[in-house]
Amino acid sequence: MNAPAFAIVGHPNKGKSSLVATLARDASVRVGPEPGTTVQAREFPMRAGGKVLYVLVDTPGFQRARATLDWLKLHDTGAASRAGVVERFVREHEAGERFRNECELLRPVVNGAGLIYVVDGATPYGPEYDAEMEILRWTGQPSLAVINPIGEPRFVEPWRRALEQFFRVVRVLDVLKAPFEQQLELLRAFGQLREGWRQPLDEAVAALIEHRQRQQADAARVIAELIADALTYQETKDLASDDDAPRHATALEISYKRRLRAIEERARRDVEALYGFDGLDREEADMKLLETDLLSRESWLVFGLKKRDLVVVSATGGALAGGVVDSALLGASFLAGSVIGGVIGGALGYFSTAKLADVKLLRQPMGGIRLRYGPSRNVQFPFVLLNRALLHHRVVAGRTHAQRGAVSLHLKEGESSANVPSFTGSTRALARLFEQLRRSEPGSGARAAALQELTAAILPMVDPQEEARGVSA
Amino acid sequence: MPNPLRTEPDLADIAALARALQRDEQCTARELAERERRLAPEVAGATDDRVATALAWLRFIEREDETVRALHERAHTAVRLTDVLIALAAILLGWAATLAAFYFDGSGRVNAVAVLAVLVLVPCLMLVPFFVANLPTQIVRRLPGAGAFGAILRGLSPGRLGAWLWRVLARDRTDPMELMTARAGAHQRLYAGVQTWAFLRWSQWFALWFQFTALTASLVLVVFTDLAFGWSTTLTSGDPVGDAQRVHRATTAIAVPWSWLAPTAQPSLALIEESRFFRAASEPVSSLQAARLGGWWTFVVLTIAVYGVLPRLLTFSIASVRLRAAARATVMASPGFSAVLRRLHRSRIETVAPVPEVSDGDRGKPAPFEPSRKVGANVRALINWSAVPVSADILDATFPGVPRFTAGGGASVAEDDALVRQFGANDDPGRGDVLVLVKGWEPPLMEFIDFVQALRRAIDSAAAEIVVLPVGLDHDERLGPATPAQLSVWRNKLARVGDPSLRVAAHQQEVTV
Repeated sequence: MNAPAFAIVGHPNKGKSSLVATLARDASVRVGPEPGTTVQAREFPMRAGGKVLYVLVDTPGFQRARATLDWLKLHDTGAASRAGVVERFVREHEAGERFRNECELLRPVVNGAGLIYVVDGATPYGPEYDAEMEILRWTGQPSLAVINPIGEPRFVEPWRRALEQFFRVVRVLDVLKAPFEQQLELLRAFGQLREGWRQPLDEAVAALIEHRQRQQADAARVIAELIADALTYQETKDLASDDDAPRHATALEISYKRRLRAIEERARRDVEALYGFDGLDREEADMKLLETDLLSRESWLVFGLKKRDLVVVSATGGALAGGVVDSALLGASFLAGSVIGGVIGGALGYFSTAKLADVKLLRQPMGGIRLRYGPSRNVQFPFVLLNRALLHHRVVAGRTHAQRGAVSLHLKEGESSANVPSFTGSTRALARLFEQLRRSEPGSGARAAALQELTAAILPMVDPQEEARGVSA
Repeated sequence: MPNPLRTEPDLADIAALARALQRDEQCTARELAERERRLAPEVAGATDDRVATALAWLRFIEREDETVRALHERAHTAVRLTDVLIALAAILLGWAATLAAFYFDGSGRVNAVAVLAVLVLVPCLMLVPFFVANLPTQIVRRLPGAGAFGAILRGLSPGRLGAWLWRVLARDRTDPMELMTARAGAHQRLYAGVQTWAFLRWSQWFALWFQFTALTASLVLVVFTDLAFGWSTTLTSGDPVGDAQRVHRATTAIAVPWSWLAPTAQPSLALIEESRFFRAASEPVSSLQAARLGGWWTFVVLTIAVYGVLPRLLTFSIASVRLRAAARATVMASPGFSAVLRRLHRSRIETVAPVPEVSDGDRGKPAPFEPSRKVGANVRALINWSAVPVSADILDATFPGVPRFTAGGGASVAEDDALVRQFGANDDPGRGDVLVLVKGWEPPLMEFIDFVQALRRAIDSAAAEIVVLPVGLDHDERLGPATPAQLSVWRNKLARVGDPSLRVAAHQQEVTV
């Protein structure tokens, strides 16, 4: 059996393509105030596991509805054969230009698609719609009307009264802002139009819910990875003792901040890609570091040695050399060789560290100063990151694919950047996880476990209820 | 037949994956989503193992991207070549060391102590850095000097030969290394594990071949030459019997691992006593004596095998396992790989259109905008198109004495045609312009265009204008102005009609009688 198809039809510029973009989660659909943006019927099959569960068909709007209805009436042979007359209309006019739009929108209906008629609840009902609705009634296909208020919804009730004369089911949906639950509700309503359509639509809704949960889990993981990366990121620069350290320190700070921004940017793109958005413009304030003293300096030696290491190695070397003497004397020295050797070696190591740092081998310094910028130790820093990421997620997850324009991520008045309401009760647990991440090495089991735990902690913060309360872009 | 699923990545896989992920950074999210949608049916469902999925994904990427495939092949070749060259270096060194240790010109004896020191003791000591490297990081951090000791020994490790060889290999073999180095620079701590274990594996590979060669060379020397073993040391107690007994105890302890299997493969006390020699009092060895002294060979060979080869087999296995684990961890933590997995999973649900949208090629460029000019008192008729909700009183007050007609909306096309014919029959160019009221919030449809074109043909005078006045949406049925956006839509649409006497008025004042 073929998957049920639903043709989205109606007057031009009433949000047909927006409804398709929202339900198909396809931001590439062209929507705009110019009438006739859609010129050809376009199918959007919904596949789950390779199986097509339903097909949405975006269609151009009616352009010559009254002339079409006149033709149909002229060729009417009785109520029982009206669907056949519509089919004949399409057949006879599809090669021509005059009724191109009507043929494009009626063809899928003639082929068995259900009808989803879209009107604008922000503008009044007018007699010009009667011809369109009459034509749709002639098709005999199951139908549903969607009142989509593009603006203030002040004409919803008159529309409902008019539409109920032609359609069994009438729904009101702001397709630009429709939350996920309302989208699913509409799909369930599609399934109720015909008995055989209920099961595939229920399957599709279940798949979409599971998919949504997966998206949320993935988003939680992306946010956790962002925090882990940002928390552990540091810039280091090894300098010879005579290098200009302040100049390098400034460059290091710039590089550190640029990299942090890049880490956050990548996470933003990942979350947007999760929800099917590509190249969204964002209006977001740059992340500000909560501390200014992230620069540290330490001495470094070749092989990554520290002064303490060099002393121990020198002392061990001295003790071994002394041990050879002890062995030669068959223990008669009572290990005095080892002890003296160890002390001399240790002392040499201690006093020669600075000298070693000044030595250059093949023009490469053997030691010097290591400048380190980061990682941030501020306890609020990961919370700020998380807050920003959650706000971004909430906006992106709540955004429909019919919306155009930049995503605004500016906090509302009174919202503090370090205050995420969902933290209540778990702040201490999060702080502990952040500390674990700070201490763990990338690729280590400890890092993986901490990431897993943080992902699980973030997951409830990206749930649908959270989105429903969310900020609209 | 499809390739079996692989779950163990090697260095070449990591290099190729790094390249593939690096290239992904240049692609848009949509391109990546489309690619993953294409690959998902083949990759997904094969396994739940993330690394196996990564390797399967990489195989498909290589099928589509020649550069990734070529790099993978070059990296694979470079790894194999490095293995071979390191093994060759180890064989050369092992052979030379064995010849030196077994040096025997017939005038003296082969010092078994020296042989075991060169071929077993020193290599055994070289195991220390390996075990230091195996210490957990937490212990190394707390153990003063352990990190430094490990760093120095890592610096001296023969495994470094691998990195050096990659640099001196032919140019087309070095780009995987450069890629990994560049990537390791950006993600230093992530690649550190795999780098460390790659060097350690190569160092154990070197040591293993060294020991194999030592064992083989020893057997060759035993089989094809005559060797008279002895033992000699300066560290003596002065009691020859006591010294021999101590050496015997030592050899017995050394031979414990194989004594249950080959109890004769260890020197007896008598042989030890007989085979001690002093260079200062060296005397020629008789053929009979030489044959007896050759009895050491089983002990020497088994010592090399058990204390030289076997530990290296073990450490090589450990290093290989740890390298595989590090490689798996690196693959899973590779920046960008989580996104690949997410895309693969996401593509199990598809809702978007498989074909791109067709653009309207017929839509010409709109005519340049011309500001409205006031019509004055020359309106001869007003047509209310599609029942614009404006009360008759307002129309009477605004356009006094102007005859009003209706068209569009609830009227049939035939009624519109009749109205047009009426205008044609009564056409008089001097009578003035025709004003058409339209709903500004509704877009101009083709049936409206049909109507104004028919009207133009009917009145047949370019001097008479057809003025379209889009009315804004208002509560009290006044003639409110349309919004600029609505006006723009109307102007753009009507500009395409190409009628110079058809214009859109922005406000009722422009057409007040």
